Amino acid sequence: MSKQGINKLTDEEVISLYLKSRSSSYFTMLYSRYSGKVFSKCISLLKVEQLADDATQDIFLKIYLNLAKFSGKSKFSTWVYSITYNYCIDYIRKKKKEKNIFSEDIENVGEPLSDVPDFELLEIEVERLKKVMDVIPPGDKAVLLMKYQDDMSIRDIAEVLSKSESAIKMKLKRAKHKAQISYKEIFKD
Amino acid sequence: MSEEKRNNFKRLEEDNDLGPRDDKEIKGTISFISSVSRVIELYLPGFFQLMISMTGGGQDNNSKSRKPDSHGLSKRDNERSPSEPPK
Repeated sequence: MSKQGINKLTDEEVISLYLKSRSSSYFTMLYSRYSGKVFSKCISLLKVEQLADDATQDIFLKIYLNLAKFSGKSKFSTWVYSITYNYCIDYIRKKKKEKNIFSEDIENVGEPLSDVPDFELLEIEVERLKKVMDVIPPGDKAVLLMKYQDDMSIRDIAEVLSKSESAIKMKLKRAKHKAQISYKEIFKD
Repeated sequence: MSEEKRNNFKRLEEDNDLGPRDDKEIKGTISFISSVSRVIELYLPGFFQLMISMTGGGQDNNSKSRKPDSHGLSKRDNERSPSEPPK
């Protein structure tokens, strides 16, 4: 098949062709489509370029080994991102020895929170958003990225993090609140 | 005309994305991934089998460890109480 022909195929079609032929050109196509996005999430969560590079390679090795197990129940992108987030969160827990990766694990969760409107976060200037994302706990960051960057549903996020949908709704609410507070603290004027 | 909603999380992703890598680098990574996965698929099951047999598990291991002077009974068989019949 010509390179242009492969480019037009959906992810699922590329996977099916790869599984039939075991030709590395199909896997290369998946790698080209997703390596940048995977790297972007890794650098967001792990913060060090070399770590993010190694993580991207490890994640694609996992994808390569488990591609036959991809059932097609969810979108391929959701499956790839779930491997990515779980890899990074596990890494942070084990290597960086951070057990509390969500703000609610660290802070007092007694008081009820007001809901932060989506647009208040979505419209923060990119450079400022980067700084805000750098100071919030990695779990909060992962939930925000899944929701607003990957457009994942609450159900999909719950599946990725092995939590209930109501727990994810609460984590998302707290993550938005944490981001808003951090924004106000960093950019007081 | 409705204005498209701004979402700077998407722009954040574009900023972090290093862009398309060159073909040589991608080919190198893919060949690395396929050779590592081949090693894992070929040797990992064997490695686990070896570990299991070293730690005394597995069916073959039990029959090999029986000593001729124990009259066909393994040490574990001899440790059973007299009321239990040997296997």
